[in-house]
Amino acid sequence: MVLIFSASLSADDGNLEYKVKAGYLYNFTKFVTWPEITGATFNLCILGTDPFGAVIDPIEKKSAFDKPIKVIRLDEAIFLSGRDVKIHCRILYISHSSNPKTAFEKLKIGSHATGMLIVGEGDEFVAGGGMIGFVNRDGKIKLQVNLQSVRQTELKISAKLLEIAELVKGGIHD
Amino acid sequence: MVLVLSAAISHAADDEMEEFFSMTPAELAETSVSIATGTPRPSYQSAGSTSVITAEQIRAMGATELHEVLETVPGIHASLQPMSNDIHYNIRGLANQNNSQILFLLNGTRISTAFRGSTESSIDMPLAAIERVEVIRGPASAVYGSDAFAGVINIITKKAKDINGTQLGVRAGNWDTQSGWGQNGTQWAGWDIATSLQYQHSAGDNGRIIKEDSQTLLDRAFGTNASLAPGAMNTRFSALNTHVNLKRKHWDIGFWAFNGLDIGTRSGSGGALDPKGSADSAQYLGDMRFSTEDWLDDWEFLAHLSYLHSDVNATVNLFPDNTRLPVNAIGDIDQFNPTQLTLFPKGVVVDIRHVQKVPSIELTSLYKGLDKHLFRFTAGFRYEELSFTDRRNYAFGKPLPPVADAALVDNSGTPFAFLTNTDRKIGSLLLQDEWQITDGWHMTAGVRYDHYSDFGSTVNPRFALVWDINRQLTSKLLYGRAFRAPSFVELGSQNSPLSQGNMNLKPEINNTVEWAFDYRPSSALRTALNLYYYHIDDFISISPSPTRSGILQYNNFGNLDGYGTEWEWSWKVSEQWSLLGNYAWQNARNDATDRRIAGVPGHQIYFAGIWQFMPQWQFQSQLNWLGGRARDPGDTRPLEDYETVDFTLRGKRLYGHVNVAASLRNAFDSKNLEPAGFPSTTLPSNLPLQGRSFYFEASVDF
Repeated sequence: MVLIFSASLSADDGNLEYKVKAGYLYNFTKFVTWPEITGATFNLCILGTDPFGAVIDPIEKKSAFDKPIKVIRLDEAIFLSGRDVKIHCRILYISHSSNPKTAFEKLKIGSHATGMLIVGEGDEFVAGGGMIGFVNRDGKIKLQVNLQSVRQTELKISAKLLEIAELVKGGIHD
Repeated sequence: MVLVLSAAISHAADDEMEEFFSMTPAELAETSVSIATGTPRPSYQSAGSTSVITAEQIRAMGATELHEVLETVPGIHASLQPMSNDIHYNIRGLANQNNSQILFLLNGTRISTAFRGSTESSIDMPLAAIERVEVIRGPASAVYGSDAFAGVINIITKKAKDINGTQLGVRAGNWDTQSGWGQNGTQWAGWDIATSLQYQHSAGDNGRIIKEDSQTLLDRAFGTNASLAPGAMNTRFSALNTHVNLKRKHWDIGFWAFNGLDIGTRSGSGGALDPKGSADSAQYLGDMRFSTEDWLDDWEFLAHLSYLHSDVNATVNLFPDNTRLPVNAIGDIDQFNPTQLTLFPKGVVVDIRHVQKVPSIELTSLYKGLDKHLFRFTAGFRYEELSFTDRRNYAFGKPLPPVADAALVDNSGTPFAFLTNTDRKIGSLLLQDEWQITDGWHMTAGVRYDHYSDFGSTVNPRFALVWDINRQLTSKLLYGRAFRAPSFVELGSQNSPLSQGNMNLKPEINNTVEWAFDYRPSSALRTALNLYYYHIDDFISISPSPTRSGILQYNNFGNLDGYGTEWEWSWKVSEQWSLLGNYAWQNARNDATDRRIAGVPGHQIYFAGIWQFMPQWQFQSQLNWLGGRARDPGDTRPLEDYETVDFTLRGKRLYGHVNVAASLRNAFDSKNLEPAGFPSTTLPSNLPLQGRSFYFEASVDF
């Protein structure tokens, strides 16, 4: 174990986790189907302190559903106050710094949530009602999916994603 | 040159992200990233030639026992040990009598023991509880000490998060083969708890026919008619395998119990078929790890305690009922100095039991305070104790009557026992530095000191330089020195008609240099190539005793030079198709005989095609070919090149919960042989491997 996975000190590898997560986020645009996409861009919103930094920016060179992907960093206070409803986030990434519970409460009331894929981190995220969560399993980033949460929306997640994901129960209404 | 390349690395941020964007979800899920104790490096950057086989790959290939997994690793071949017929791994062209040149670890804890220097389970470990198998080819004594001589195999079991719920499964196949398992991963009182239990049974492949055995030769010499050959090898077994793991912050506690029950004697412990003989094996391992984790900024302290208890009992007929043998003045079987011929109406019976107790402690400190360095300092102590019970109906120090009694005489602790009780103490110190010199260059340098109470001290360094030439290409330069302490059997065994120990043995020493490349031109294609050379001093091998004619003994028999190459590749051709394979070429020559080591393959090819024809269904076919096995001079037993082909169909998460599989192993029923050892003492024919077999499997997750 020690020999195979000798601990690394490379500054570069610190980002590896978020590079993988960014890879997943782009993959979601291929393996999740949304209801009709309105607006000129496919918006990927990050709520709370942005853990990706520059790692996520090259995604703006890509497109999804024939629309350029746009990264929008949302201010938590403004988002929770409800003044941001005009922005149609197709993917909402709730960072560690935010309290997902408060965000879920907010999204439950907001009618725009039906076409929004809610992504976050850690074991509690999906059990608490998030749709897709990133979890670290022995040094690898795996997905957790809460199908109950997904079914309350018009989103469809392809079997390709589900087959590598852990399916978790639990919801906003619990 | 270096400047140009490092510039190329730094401007590549966008291209680099492009690579992550083009990876599939499955590939992303398999990418190693940071964990709390440091960043695990992907295997292409590891400081060694490593292969990792995941549970997913194990399921896809349809393997049900460990040796089927390891056979797919380049440079490793699962052969059979002469006599015991336990699985016997050849690695990089190396092999000895007792499979002791590879160190086996379970979750990083040593399970090889000093009796023969190999594992004591007698049969293979079932796989349901295994999350992955990590294989290091080449020496690793600088980290693990003795026995990490030609390679290390680390078996990692499933933790609570890998199981995540409950799985119940059953499997049934031909030859009355069944297996059943249950696994549970749960959280309780702040602990992640994984429990796994598997039972496996087989009546054995009755198609592995031994045409002539050692008794056939004795019958010819002494006019008897005792041999049971032609007859089938006795390959029955049952096994119960239990793993428990408790994990929480700072703590990792494991327990393993393995019970082999009524294990058949295969081709016979004396080279004569023995349907009556049977062995039971019990292995228990308790394992506790504590880490300070994030208590301190620059330091991390780890403590590792383990206790291995191994108990193997075999009652066997070395030669069958009504054999008549030449015996000497102390009643030992001796065809060179016989004083009489003795008839054994109930056969030549041996009942031996060896119990080993191995407590071990390791204390490690990691220092992270110096930028770009990670220092490791470990002090360890291990105690190895063997108690040996020896009961038999011959060779207990006095002449036998013309007709031997069936009653067994207890020889334990006498000069007539095969082995007497023994122990040794091993103290060790390890110092290692991992240094990220620049973004692209990484160096690991380490040295380990071991002191053995029975033969003294040894110092083993290693050095690895890993260069990420660019995002696609990594090169490694590796050097390692390894040692293997002689086992208790190699040192002290006596009173055996087959082989004798030698108290004057020195440890064997391996120096290996290796140059490796890993090339990943796209996320769909990966290929790795290495070239290695090793020199072994004081190779421990069986050779004729200088003092007793006709008797074989363990000797430091010559020095060895070995070289070879291993090439692996995997290619995801499309969403539906993946191909992977490897090729190994190896050549190890002993300067004492100027011959290659007998019985080990010179070439090995593995090829697998995986067809994911529906999202939840896949079909894997695989081919394993090996050839170019040398024989000892005068050994005329055929040892042809051979191949096996396996097909496995697998459906997963059907209706969300059900997994099914069907597998056809050795589909073309090819009649493959493994070497049976020295012709003078063992079988007149080589050992047949398993013929065609099949199984069906189903499991439910909930």
